[in-house]
Amino acid sequence: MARRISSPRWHAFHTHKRGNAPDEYEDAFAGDAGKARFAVADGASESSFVSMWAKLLTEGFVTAEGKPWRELDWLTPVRERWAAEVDPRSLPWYAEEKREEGAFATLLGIAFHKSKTNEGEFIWRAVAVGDSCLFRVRAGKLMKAFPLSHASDFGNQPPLLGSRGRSNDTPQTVERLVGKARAGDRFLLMTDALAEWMLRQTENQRRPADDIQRLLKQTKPHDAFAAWIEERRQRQGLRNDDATLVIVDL
Amino acid sequence: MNGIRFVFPLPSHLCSGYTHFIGSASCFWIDNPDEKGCPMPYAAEITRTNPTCFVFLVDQSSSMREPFGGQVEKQKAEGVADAINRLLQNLILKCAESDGIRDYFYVGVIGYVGSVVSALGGGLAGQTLVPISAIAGNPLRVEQRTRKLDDGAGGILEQKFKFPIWVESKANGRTPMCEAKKTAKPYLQVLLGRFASCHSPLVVNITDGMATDGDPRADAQALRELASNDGNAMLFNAHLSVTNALPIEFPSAEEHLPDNFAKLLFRMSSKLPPRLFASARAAKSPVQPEARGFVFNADLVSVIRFLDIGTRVAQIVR
Repeated sequence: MARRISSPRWHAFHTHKRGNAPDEYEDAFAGDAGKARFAVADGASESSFVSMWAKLLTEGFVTAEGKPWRELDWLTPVRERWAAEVDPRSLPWYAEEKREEGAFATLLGIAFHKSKTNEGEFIWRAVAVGDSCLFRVRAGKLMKAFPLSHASDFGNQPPLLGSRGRSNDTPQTVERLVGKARAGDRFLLMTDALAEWMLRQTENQRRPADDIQRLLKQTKPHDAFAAWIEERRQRQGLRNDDATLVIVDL
Repeated sequence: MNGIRFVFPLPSHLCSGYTHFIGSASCFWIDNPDEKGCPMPYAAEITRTNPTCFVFLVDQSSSMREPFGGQVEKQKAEGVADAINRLLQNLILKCAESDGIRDYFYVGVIGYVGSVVSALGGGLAGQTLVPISAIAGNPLRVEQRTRKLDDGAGGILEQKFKFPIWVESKANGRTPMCEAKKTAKPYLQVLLGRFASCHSPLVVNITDGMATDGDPRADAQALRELASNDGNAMLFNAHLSVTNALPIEFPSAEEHLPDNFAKLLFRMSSKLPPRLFASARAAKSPVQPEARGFVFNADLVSVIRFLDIGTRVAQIVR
């Protein structure tokens, strides 16, 4: 049994795509400081009942028994919950067709444990499907990006997890990574638009982690997040999409 | 406007400020989108506040009674009706969310059946350019059809699915393709007048290629010269032929096309714009540079799949 770490501090920020209503936000995030597990997901806007699916996925990862970063068997009860919510509803023909196809979303989940061998060291294990990303930052410097590591890696057809559990609903490309970290390291979990911005800024010799730190220093950072995102959409080519940021400090 | 009624139930704040464009042809720039400072053509976002349009030209002339693609039991007219209904269904499904339809697209369907008329019927009879949600809510009927699927274990699975009908199979009279293209022009002009920065509108012509009212190339050119800030309007052609030849999708040259009608339609078709081309490549379509929006004995549903309105799900296409 891996040793639990004392609860890491975490913050979550989110905002919707410009032009959409706030309740059309289709990303999701979840965190459990006690379990030291965190997740973000991005619902594919072309599928339906997708924000519910993204939410269930992140909560499913965070609350699952066992090792949800290794096996994806925890998806089965999550899929059943989605179907139980959605299937009894009476819908027009087009919504029935979309419901039949199921909802699709990316997922990025991470879990932290204390190292058994080195005092003060942490082991983290991450699982990713699609282009929601994880960044490890030390002293404002980007040390590791996962699963994508270049701004040019982003497209609009990422691997996705489907809610129906059919043969093509769990893609071949489930990425997993294990790494080490130490106290003071910061982990950033982001959905695709923000993650692409993070990598492009880094490629352009900027320090986006410092930019995020300045956001955190504001008196009401959660209230400031939407404007912070909009400014980067206008000035730094941040793609107009839902944006989600989870910050975990060890 | 020749009495054409355009339906635009838009919030007033979206309409104000644009009214000076309506009915004016002089606001369209023709040759070079770069002069308008556009960073990359055919890259405008498609959103509800900046929608684009599809105008379908559907050949319902008497030559459509001929068999389709060498199949004795199926008329070209049925092939055309299936094609347009399938295109409409896929457009709707692309915009369908759990809470309803998002109006990313406005749609017009023009039939050339002896004369040129709106091919929409039922609750949409007499209307021209309507939001996609209006199409979704007003099929003539919804049929139950069956498709065969691979069951993943070496067998075939029959799956029932709903197939809404908006356009009936028809085959009457001459083929006024030139007039159909002229009719489409004000459809595009109204959209461009209201949404000057919209993603370039798309005209999809579904035909067996035999125009009876002259050379359609000039009218095709006139359509393609309409433009938004994003780039020129696009004209794609789906050619349904009596010839039992293999389907051809998005060719980049005409020499392998089976007949002169196909070659003429190919020449009138717009090149796939860069993002559509990239999407087609990403979807493993074997398109080559200079590929055009032309298909022979095939359908254009993949074009809808390639359009970008957000994170795409590869599996969803019918």
